[in-house]
Amino acid sequence: MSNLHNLFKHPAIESFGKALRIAVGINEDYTSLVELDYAERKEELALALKKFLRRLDANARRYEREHAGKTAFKPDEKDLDEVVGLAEQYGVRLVCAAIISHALVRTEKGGEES
Amino acid sequence: MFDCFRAYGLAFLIGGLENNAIIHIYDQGPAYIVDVEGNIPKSPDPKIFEITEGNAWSMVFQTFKERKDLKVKPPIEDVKDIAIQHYDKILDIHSRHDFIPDIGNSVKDGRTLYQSIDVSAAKGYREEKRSVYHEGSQLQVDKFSWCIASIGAAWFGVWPRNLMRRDISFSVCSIPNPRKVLLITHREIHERIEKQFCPISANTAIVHYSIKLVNAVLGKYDETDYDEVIFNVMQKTGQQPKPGGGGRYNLTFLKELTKTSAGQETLNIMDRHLLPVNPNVKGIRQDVALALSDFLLHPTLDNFRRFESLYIRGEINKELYSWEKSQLEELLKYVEPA
Repeated sequence: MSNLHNLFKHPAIESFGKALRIAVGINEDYTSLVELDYAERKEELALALKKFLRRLDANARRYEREHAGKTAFKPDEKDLDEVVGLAEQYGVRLVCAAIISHALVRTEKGGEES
Repeated sequence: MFDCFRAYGLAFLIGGLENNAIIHIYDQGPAYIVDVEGNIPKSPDPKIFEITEGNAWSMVFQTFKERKDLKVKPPIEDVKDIAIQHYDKILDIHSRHDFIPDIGNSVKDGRTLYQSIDVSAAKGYREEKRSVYHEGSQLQVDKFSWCIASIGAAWFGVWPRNLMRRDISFSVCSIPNPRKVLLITHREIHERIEKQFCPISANTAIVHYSIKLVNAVLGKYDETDYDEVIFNVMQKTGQQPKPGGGGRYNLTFLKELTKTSAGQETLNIMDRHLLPVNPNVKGIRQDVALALSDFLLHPTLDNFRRFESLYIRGEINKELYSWEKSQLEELLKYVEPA
């Protein structure tokens, strides 16, 4: 198995991948996709993730306001720590490739909401 | 490629269209072995020299121009005469373990090795011609080896039909390397594969053929197994086609994908949706097909990232469908570390 495959199956990467899928597919947040695509160093990844989470948060709040009682999906702090740890272990490019790969994947049954 | 064609050609010369004996071909590294069980016919099947839809005689000898004042026989007739008149001799020399074809600039009673049989035989490909005004010399080979190689190339060389179009600038000829092949099964597989491959570039055409091949061989590994696809690329010009390179594409990656149902589905998606694209319509589908071929030829992280980056843009534009998670996972298993 390749490292990319192992990373793809990691829960923290899955969580960020799902968030990116929502961001790209529903919120049309292509900026985050491009920033993650171009991140090569740890500082760039940290900045890309920070901006991505800020945009995701804004969209999540809007969604929750418009759909009372529903909760939008967001990766938690533990996921963020793990992704940063994985980037140190495997390298930024591999982690970004794994996250973006999740954005290529079809939405699971039941659908995803912002 | 010449040796591989010789192996297939010799096997087919013995087996004929009626499959007169059980014939296996094995690639043993230094040599191909043609193993015949049953009675070897006393003469070759004359039908193998007829031009039909099932063979590519016209492609093999496409550079031959028939003229009234020509003193030599047309090559198909020449192949037929050699095979019929020297059938026993051909079998005899090939039953010797120490037989090596005679190849050189001048071989006694030799024949010109066509670049469609081996691209390295092309004029100007083997010798330096800078600042010299001549075409380059032809390569000759003994007539027995030439005869069986021509039969192999005509019957088992894969010439994609859609690449014959005028607006396609290259042509490709390929042949699967017989790691272990039962001739009758190989013929069935060869006939079953549709000869329409992705026409954007030679890489995409070779990869597309390889995908079709591993799909067709699936479940028949005990009878037929290929390890590589050997290919010749020729560049079309206003005159005769010019050599465009050649090589071998290892099928291990694609064969690994066929081991799971998700992997097989992944190959089917590539075969039916991602690679069949119109060469005249520029856009994301072409870019994805090129990136995917590069990735399948060299499954590196860089090539995968280029593919996924383009694919996601295709998804956003609603030109490409999303992947099933299990199918994409199969591809990710084989991404080589950077």
